[in-house]
Amino acid sequence: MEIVIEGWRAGGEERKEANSVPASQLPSLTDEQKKVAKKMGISEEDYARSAFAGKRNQERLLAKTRRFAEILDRILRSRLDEARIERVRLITIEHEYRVEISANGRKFVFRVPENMVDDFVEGGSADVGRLIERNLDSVIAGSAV
Amino acid sequence: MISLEEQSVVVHLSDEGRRVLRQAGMELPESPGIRFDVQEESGRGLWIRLDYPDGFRHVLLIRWEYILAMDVIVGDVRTDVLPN
Repeated sequence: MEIVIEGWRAGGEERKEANSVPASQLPSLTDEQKKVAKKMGISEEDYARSAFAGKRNQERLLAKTRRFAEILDRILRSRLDEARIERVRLITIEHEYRVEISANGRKFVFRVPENMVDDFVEGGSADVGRLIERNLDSVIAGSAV
Repeated sequence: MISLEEQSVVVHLSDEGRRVLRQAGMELPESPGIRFDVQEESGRGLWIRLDYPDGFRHVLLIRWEYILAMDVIVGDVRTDVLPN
């Protein structure tokens, strides 16, 4: 199963960490990155701090997505023994998960708003968990038509 | 649908926008673009998150009419593999 995080965010904690790192310890920019910073009209240091915070944020999103993928995989297999998740993609700017599933020789996409995953995986909401399961059941039923 | 919540953006403000933000106490760089972290977007504008030197976090509204252009730093793609 592939986990894909498309993009990052300026999470509060990561941003605070990035702002406290001495400029000398920020990862150095490539020539291309320096050119982009210049085109965007911001300083190289500001660009470097954004990238630093973004990379840290991606780690957190990756961990959250792994947990979600593992839970969803168990739910899916309890419904369809031979079904499997091919890929879980988080589109950060759209705050949405797109889960690519293969079952019965067919492939389909299950879309889940990220705030539902947050409530379920990080907030422990059983209600949201049941809603995700119901939505998955509907998508499985629809894909069998 | 795009949601700017928690995104890092580079905003190009109108002269009036720069004047208003300075009046609100913001120290703006002289660079053409200014990077902000978005807390939330609304019909009125962009709510941005600011950590002030007093140790307090502030959230400030930049009205849409002051924003001439905006570049969202979405970031790159990170992948990982979980065993099936």
